Amino acid sequence: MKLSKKTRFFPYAMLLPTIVIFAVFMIYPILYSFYLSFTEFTGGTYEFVGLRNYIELFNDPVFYKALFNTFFYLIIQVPVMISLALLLAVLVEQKFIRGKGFFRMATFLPTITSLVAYSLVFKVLFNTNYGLINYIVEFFGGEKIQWIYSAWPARASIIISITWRWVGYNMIILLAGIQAIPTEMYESASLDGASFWQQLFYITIPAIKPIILFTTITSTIGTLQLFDEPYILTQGGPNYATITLGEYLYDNGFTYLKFGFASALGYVMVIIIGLLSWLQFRVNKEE
Amino acid sequence: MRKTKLMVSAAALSMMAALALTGCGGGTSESAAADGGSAEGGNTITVWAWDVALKQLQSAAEKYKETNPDVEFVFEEMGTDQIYTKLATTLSTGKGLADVILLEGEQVSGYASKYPEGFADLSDIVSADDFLPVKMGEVTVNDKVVGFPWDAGPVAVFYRRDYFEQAGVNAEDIQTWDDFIEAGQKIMETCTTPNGEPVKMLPVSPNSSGFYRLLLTENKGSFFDAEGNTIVNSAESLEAMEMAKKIYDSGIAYNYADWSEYEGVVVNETVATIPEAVWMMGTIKDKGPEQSGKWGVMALPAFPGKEASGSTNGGSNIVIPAASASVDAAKDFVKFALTDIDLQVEGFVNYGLFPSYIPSYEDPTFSEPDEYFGGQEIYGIFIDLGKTVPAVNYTENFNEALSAAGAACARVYLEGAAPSEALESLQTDLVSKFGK
Repeated sequence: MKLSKKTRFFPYAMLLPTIVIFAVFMIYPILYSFYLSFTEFTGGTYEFVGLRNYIELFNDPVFYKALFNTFFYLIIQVPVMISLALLLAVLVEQKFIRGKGFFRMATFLPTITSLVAYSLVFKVLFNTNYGLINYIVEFFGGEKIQWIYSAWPARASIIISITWRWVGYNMIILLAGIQAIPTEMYESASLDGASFWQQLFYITIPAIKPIILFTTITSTIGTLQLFDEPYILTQGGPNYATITLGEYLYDNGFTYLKFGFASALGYVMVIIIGLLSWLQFRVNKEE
Repeated sequence: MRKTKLMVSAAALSMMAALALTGCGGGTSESAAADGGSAEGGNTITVWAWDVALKQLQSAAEKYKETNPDVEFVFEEMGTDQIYTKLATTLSTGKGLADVILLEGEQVSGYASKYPEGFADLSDIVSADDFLPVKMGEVTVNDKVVGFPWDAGPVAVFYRRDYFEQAGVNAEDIQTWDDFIEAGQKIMETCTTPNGEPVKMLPVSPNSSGFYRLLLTENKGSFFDAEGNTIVNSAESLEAMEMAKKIYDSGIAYNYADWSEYEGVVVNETVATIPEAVWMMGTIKDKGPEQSGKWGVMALPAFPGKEASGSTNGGSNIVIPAASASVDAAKDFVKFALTDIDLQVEGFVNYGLFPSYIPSYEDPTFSEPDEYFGGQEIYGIFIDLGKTVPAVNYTENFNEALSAAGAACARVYLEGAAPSEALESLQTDLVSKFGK
């Protein structure tokens, strides 16, 4: 059957608003920032400078520090958080747990707090002189930890904060996957004498593998774009020890007004995120 | 299936409607604004400012309206970050800008060099001799006066008379920074805070370049020379960094990381001195009302073997965007608000906004004693110090240099880097970034 011209046109008319919004707010900025990455903003105009921003970027020691920090957060924080989320999701689903709703909500609650608000609270908790965490450390006979004034504790404070904030979010997603697993599988496994850990490794994890992949990818992207926590907790210091690519991009764009350089950095981030996501898909497929 | 289709088209329709509505709405309000602007002949002045400066400008506007009843004011309270973010986006398009905008002292040159046509030339209403030289330096960019100097931040040392007395330290005897360290060690040994900890001599933020920059300005150095070349490895700079390290390493410094902790040193009575700009006076009075009579002010200690000098930190200026529809009205108002001597005195007394307009110092208020500071005549100290600070060339690269210098300071204070090495590598980094 041949559709009339009018009928064929109709779906496109329906799609138009979405296409227009997508074009104006997504495609245009993406293309324009690509153009900007080859320019330098000086004297009120954008001057075409070719690859200079990219060359400058790859010669910039702060860029490598930001890259190192971002990957450090990624390699340590994402696996720790996903394992923790998985463990919590499994525990909350155990039969013997009473008040499941309460525990689910309690773990999820951090996710709905504002990024800035919780970062400020952690800043107070990690305060060297009168913070609660150092108080506890001292109470148990430890030395005050210089959370903000030395590199590794500063990085640790950021990892602890983001883990607290995001573990509940990933737990809920994993939980949805776990609830979809038929209970008969566990029942027959128990009859065969499978332990808790065997059930976890041979039933739960294989069954929700695509969901674990999903949370890993979203967490990877989230960590690569990390901004609020280092910006508020440590301002990227001491000596750029906690600065992330996202924060460095913001500084260059909106504090130093180097829009071209910031766009170049943005494009390098896009390439890194794209490569990592592709890698994760590949690893998952091969297995 | 049918139902889904229906829902999808309903959603699409409502989206289209929403889009059409926003389109219309945007159009109407824009044309209304344009009409309003031309109808009133550029007599509406929109002001972006923060905190006490906004309050002071509001009271100036009331006074201004007594003689200019046809001028309308719109005041928008915005924090510094909000102003900078909005400025960066609106200057590019020339739309949505206010007519009168408050900027921090060091920030004027960055925006004015990035947007050379962005701000109105104020040379005709600012006469250079009437203002502190350091403030004229802030607003002069490429030989053009692009801002109106407002409050200044001359630095002196606020000190606790009671701690000094307890330790047997005499403020007059502290002539150099070496004397200052010695006094600090005595105070640490003798005095304890209400919380039972030894009193430190001064607060230092080890992740920022604040204290080093205070010493650098006192030692007549700066990040850039008159041509904008990076000179952070100059002899002045090295002396300043070495002195900063000497003071920090002597153990008399109290670490703080942000503004609330900085205020905390007053509340918790943790330190015996605060070397800071005149505006700190307001914070001290505000956070330590029961410490009245315990504080005094003394001049900045000198570098050993050098003459005493002043330093500066902060303060603000006003700019008028060239794209403003009411440039003339805004100029007239700003000139009135920042040179009317009664208003300068009012802003200083009520809000601690220390004027940079030199003729206002003739007012008797500036030679009056301050009860809170034990009846000391403290303002003269700031005025004299303020006049000794030379103009500094900030350039468009200031913010980036500031952040890199903060990292260099963290290396020196916290990681034990040698000042000469830290400054040489800072110099190399900045030169490779700025090309000079």
